[in-house]
Amino acid sequence: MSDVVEKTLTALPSLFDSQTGAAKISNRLKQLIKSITELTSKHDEESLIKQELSAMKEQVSAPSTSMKQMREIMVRSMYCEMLGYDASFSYIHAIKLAQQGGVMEKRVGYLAVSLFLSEGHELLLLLVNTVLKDLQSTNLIEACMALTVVAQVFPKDMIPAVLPLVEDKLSHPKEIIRRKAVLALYKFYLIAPNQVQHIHAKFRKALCDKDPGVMTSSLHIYLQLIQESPDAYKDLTGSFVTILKQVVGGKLPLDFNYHSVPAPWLQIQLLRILSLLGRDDQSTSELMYEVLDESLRRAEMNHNITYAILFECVKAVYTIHPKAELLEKAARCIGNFVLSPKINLKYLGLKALTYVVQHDAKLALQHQMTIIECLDHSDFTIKRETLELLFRITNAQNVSVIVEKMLDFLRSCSDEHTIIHLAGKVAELAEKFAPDNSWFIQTMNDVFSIGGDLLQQDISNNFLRLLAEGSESKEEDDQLRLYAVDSYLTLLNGDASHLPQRFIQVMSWVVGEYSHLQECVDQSEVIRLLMKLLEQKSVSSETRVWILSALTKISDGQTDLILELAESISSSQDTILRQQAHELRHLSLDSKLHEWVLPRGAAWDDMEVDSSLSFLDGFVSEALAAGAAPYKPPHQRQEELCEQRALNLEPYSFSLPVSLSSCSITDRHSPTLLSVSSGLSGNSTELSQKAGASTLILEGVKRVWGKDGYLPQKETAVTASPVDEPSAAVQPVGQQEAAERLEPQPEPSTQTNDKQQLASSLFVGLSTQSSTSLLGKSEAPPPRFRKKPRPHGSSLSSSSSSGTSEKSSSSRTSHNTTDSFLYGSLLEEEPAGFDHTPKSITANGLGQNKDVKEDRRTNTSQILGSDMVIVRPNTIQHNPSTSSDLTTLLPADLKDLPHSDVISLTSDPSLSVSSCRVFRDEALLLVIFISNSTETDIRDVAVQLNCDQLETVSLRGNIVDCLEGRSVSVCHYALLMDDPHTNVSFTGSVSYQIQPGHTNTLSFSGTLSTADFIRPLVVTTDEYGKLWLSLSHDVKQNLKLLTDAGDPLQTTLNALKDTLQLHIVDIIGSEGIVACRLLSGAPCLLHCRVNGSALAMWLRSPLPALPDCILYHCQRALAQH
Amino acid sequence: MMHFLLLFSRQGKLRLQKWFLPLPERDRKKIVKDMTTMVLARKPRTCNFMHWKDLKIVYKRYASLYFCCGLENQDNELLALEILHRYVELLDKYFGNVCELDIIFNFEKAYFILDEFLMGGEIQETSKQSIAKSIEASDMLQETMEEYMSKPAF
Repeated sequence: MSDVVEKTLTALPSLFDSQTGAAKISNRLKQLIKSITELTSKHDEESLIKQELSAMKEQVSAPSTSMKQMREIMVRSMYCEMLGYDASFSYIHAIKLAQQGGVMEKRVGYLAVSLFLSEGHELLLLLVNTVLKDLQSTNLIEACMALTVVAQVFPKDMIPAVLPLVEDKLSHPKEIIRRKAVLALYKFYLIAPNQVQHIHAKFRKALCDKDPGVMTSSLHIYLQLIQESPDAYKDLTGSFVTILKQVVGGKLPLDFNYHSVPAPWLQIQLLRILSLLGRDDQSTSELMYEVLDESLRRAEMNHNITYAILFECVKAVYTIHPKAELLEKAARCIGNFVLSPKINLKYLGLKALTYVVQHDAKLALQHQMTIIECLDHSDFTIKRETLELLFRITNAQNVSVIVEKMLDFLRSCSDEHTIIHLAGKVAELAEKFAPDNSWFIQTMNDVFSIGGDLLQQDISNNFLRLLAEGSESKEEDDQLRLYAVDSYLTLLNGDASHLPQRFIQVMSWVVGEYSHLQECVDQSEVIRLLMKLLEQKSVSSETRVWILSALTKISDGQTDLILELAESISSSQDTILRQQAHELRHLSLDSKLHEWVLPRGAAWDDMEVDSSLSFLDGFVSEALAAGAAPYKPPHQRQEELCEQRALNLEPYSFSLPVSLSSCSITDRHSPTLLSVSSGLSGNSTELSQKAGASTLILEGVKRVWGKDGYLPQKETAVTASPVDEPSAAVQPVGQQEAAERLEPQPEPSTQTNDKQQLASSLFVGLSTQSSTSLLGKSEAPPPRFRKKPRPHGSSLSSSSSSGTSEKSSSSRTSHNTTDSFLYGSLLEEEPAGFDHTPKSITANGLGQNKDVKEDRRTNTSQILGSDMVIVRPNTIQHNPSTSSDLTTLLPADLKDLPHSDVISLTSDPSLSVSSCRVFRDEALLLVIFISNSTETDIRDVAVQLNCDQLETVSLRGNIVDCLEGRSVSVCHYALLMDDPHTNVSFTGSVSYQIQPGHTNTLSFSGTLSTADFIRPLVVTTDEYGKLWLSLSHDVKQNLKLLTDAGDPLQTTLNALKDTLQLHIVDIIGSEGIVACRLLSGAPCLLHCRVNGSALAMWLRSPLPALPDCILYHCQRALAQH
Repeated sequence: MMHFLLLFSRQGKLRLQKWFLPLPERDRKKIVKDMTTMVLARKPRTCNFMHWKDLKIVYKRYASLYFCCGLENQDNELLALEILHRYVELLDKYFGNVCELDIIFNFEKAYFILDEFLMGGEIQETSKQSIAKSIEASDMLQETMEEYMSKPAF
């Protein structure tokens, strides 16, 4: 127990006496607390509380208990809950107290409810009426309490019920009510943005409220809104600037001051909003320069709160369109932070540096000694932040020192989240800047052994992909692989029991694939090592599968050993292992088959993936002829299961999809992929052959999939890396200045030698690069491991090369560099006039393959429903003068389907990309047109599309070897939506080569709405009725009724039908029933009734989010009408 | 936006907990446990900030009591420190030279004050006077309920 509590216990009686009223009521609580404090053991405490709880339980259910007593009991049960004991019996009484008690009891009741119940709790439904009543109460305190509880816990589905009342409160005469109402609406906006969409105009009113408090509250909403779509609120910039000016100028009542700083919270909120508005927008930014300058100037007092404002100011200055004068001031500010003796400020200084170092690398140089000091700081948080900063300034020269520091930190770190985070960064740096092979392998070994099984899957996947794909030179690749093999064999020879599973998987794959490169090691020795691993108990069954497939690859010629092994495993409990053992035995007995299935050292590029699985066609048609049920995609199956058993919830309907998805998971993560499916096919004579073929396919799948399918995180990690990239472009100029500045500095005698040394090794890249640029050697060293087919790596090189070429012409001021940096697109534009020597080697031999794909067209469309994406490149020659109508280029089988207009997505001097949405029943087809706008051929055009939210969608890049001048290539992607989202954005890129070796990237993005995924659901009224009763999630809302022409209901429904592709089932009197579905998946039923001048809409669907989305689009459709 | 605010003693006893986002009971317990162990393990003269998962943790010790809150990534740590400080000031104004015992024995009051100060994880009212005024107004009810009912509030 707390010493303080103990000491003061003696003084307690007098303490109690000094208090009035309140103390008497909670006397029992005081006794309880007192007796708990006197106890010595946890056990005693437990039994005491149990006793207390049962006494309370009895008391609450006794009819004689008064409201006042109830309130006291509630306080006690809150206390017990806080100590971690369960007092759930009192929950219902808390609601009762809020319902029935006087104001005082209500207050405690509401507090108890907000502490006990969280948003999803079922008992909250019972509170709705009480809240409604209190919201309407004329008593201010009751209304305040109701608003508070609404913002704290309120069931999402019930928001429509209280929304009108809360809305009304926006015009309440008391500012405290208005303020609470605004915050409650903010909360609603966060949990159900669609429902408060219609009150945006009222938010504007709140922004103009005469009470500064209400205005401040409304900024929370605006910050959120502007974050989502800054362009829609540019018109408010002037108002925000004016408000900030007034605040900074001290125009607010003194009451808003905090430690004599005027309304700091308000200032910071405004600064954030302004930085969002001014980002990449020069004219908007210009509006705010003056006030930012003023804020920087005013915030001079030495207090935490002014530093908080300064920090936000600095961030804003560096986010918006740059202005030299402000940048200079902000940089000075950062200096104050970094050099401050206060550790909190130092921390923020490091954060600010991390943020700005991408704009202005010389700042890091200025503070190098401080950074070094922070690196050895005893505080874990400071160290971590310093490493974050170093990560941003890493280049090829200082990478080994920085990675060493990061690894040191990782070794002493125990926080999982930090390990995952930092290990990922080390891997990224290693891949990008590795000075040589042995260093790279060694570093990755460290990452794998330190990060262990916490590491994200994509780190190991990327690493393996890098080894497998290699670079341009085969010799170098083999050397790297050889290093890896050597290093792993050494590790495996030692004690392997402590190695993380993920690491063992990586090692076994590499050894299996490349151990033949090492000629001085006997294959049987390798097999022995792997078998030793298999015997270890600590090895998980997933890892065993990896090891076994490695063994399969190297088993050639070692029949005895292998047969023995296969024998021992074939009795394993694990079916996948058994399956593998069988395959292993088959292959080792038939060396010809082995050679054919697993050719040693074959380049991956030669492998072809038949993603349509057409080799199964014969088997499928046979099975169908024999009466098997046709294949249905998982989502369809799930839905049917749901429909069949409306009452039967999760446990049953889940089983089938779950087992299927687990299959697909294993095939992504482990090399067992198609052995599962070949096992399902069950054709014993073909079994081994198919299994073999499937292993082949697996490798191919990895390669093609790696990019857009299952490595989305990596994707973002790489897109975040422009941080380094631009700094490389900026460095030559920025550093040169810094170097000049540093040169005349005399060596400070106080600094210890080794710190200086460390500094020079850490910041070496920054300064040496500048000196080389002085000499005119401009080219920065290219990343060592560059993946061939990766658009990212290549865009990096292309932009850095064009960046350096631009540098020579740009004037050498830091201002100018920042300018050109901010407009990254400038850098990416490739100057025209390259010679177009055709590339001699066709990348993947896709040219031949194209025909094959065309032939399979009929088969593939059959399988389209199964989440498969068909990508069909066909190049169409056409006359540029008639190029405007791209819809004529739609493939013949899509022409007849409903489709949208063609919208241009993006273009550059050589290519333009447009898209068209084609609505197919089971999917949305996104057709992408790539037109060559030059007269010359463009080579290796590859399209890549990412869309995180459409999760079940499989996307594949589309590659065209050569796009002739003035021609258009068409490809399409089938997109499926399982989880409804109001809007889904997709991004993508087209990479192409005008000149061999120079890959250009053109990125595009766009949004799709749920409306694109909604299809009419044709049902009869009877079926509708049945379905209606079986659906669980419903939403009700009043919509606008179109009254301009004829029957309002008919007009409105027709308008909805036109925009949303709904099916109107029936209209009976003033009611209409409408049905639609999400692609071929979940249905959504709409029941509409004319209610005065509004349309009361009631939606039901098995998917909770679908009605919301549809409602949102209905609202929009009607608003636009 | 603030995700949670915890008050705990040097011994790791929870004194007050406020969750601004819905979290299952299990996660709450885990957070409370992690926070107390992490914060109590901090050495003197370290900064007041930490990372936990993807949240920023800002904490400060006042006498025997730790105030600790979890923030989103874009939030300003220094500002959060000032929020904690302002809350302490409010408690101090209400209780008069506040100590841990005041909060233990009147924790519901501490909650009421917090509810007037923060709402949905955002600052609702920064003025000490206004908060004191509205808390007082509600507290008055206790003594003079009848009197209060006969005249308008505020």
